[in-house]
Amino acid sequence: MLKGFTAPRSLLGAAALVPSPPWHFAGDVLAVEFWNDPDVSVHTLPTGVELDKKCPGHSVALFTDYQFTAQNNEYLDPARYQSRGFSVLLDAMWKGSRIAWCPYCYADNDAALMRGWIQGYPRKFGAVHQTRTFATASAASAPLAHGSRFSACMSAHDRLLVQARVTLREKAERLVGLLDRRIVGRRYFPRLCAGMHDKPAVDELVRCVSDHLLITNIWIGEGELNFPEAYGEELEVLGPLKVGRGYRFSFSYSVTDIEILADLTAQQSRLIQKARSGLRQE
Amino acid sequence: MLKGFTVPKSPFGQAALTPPPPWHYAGDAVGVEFWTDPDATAATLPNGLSRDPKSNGHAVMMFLDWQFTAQDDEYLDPARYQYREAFILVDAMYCDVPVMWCPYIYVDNDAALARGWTQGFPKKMGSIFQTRSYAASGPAAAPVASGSRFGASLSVHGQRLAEACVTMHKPVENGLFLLSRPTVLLRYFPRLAAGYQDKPAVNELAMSITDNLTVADAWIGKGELKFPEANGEELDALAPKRIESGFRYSLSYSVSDLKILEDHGS
Repeated sequence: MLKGFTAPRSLLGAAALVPSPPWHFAGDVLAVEFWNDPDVSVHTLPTGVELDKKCPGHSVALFTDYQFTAQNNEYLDPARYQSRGFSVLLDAMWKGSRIAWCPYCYADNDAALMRGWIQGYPRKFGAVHQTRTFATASAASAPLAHGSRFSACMSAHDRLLVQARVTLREKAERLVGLLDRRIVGRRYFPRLCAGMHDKPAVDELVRCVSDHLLITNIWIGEGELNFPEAYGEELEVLGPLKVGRGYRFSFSYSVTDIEILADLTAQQSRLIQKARSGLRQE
Repeated sequence: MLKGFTVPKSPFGQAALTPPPPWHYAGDAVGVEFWTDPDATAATLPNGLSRDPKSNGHAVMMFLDWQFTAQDDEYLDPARYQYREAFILVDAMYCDVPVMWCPYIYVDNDAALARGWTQGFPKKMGSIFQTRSYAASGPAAAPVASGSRFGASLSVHGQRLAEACVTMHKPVENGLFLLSRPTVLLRYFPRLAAGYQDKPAVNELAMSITDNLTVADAWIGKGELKFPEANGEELDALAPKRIESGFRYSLSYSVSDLKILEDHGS
């Protein structure tokens, strides 16, 4: 009997890309809020998700530098279980509730890629870097203090996709207007059988469930952000028309579950049935 | 309407990890044919496959240096569409059909990872290298000739998983002899909803369909192969007991379909 939460399933279950949930994350974030063209960003939304008309085009560029563990001291294997990531989140609505839609997402580690697909984040590989803060005072230590500057960038296949900078201005108790919406993604797994390439085996709209979310050491300041154009990507069309605040904070949370909002394969087969019965009636 | 064969689906379909099939591959292979512990190969088999009583424990370790293209000149974007791969195939039976099963496979590129998951190859990221052959002769050129040696290695997250060396002795007429069995794979994609984490959304035993498989410049000779032990991996359980041969060839093929043998989904 093969074991493992994901492929490759193996005798001991030690070879799987990702251990079973609960999954625990702890890390640092550099984020920049911005506004893109809602007439363009609307085209990244799946069926059933709409832009939030109260804040059209409002988005967040999120760089994470984090450590993962499950039940087996995975955090003591830093080569395999530390990861850096980048996500874009768009302010959106699902059936009247405020959500954040994730159209694009990158990580630098294969376990993170697989966790992403399982959670509905459409992850690809990217090289992601951000300035870190160190305890000893030095010109290189980037302290959490007024005026400190933090940069981040993401590139994929040697093409620069995102550059950001945050200049810290004030410490804050809460993240005002950032990450106050649950993230919605799309679990999608295609078929390869001939004739079925456009009929995915899995196509679900899902809302992430985060347990024990803790956000601390929050600093807010000015943000700078740009999305250079790159072949094989469509990130640049979501680029900023206006850039807002920049944020730097630390976070931790756990994942043991996910909320399925809609099975888009069922909608697909219902539409096909409807079309067929329509034809019969004619 | 979002487009794309895989995630991320996007307005123009340019952002997807991999373009839709047909997929075309061309590359060089260095491999070692060997025998390992039959209980260890049997322990890697999924439901639906059984031991091959005639060749239980027989396996092949392959290292590949690939170039990929679909319909849009992807081969002219080498950063994104060249990749290196290492995998092991073990002999098995599907009903009364002799097949090869792929328990472990590694690549160094995300597009290859996504294509692999779609086909049922359980790909993880690895760092893979093989000696290449160059046209201008010299001590570093590694010609395709008798006595030439080709090394290959696989490492993952800073740990060595496999090391191989092939010494070429003679060309072979039929380079396809090691690929005569079809490869069987497991398309597996879990659910994350609480209570369903052991009930995968996709759990299909599949047989790969390769079109226009072509082999050129095939050589056979001596093989050497080691699987050092590594944390978070189980490849070393399949370490060689006896080595049959080493080989090197160039190959190409296309993929546009997959045969689902059994749906084990709930």
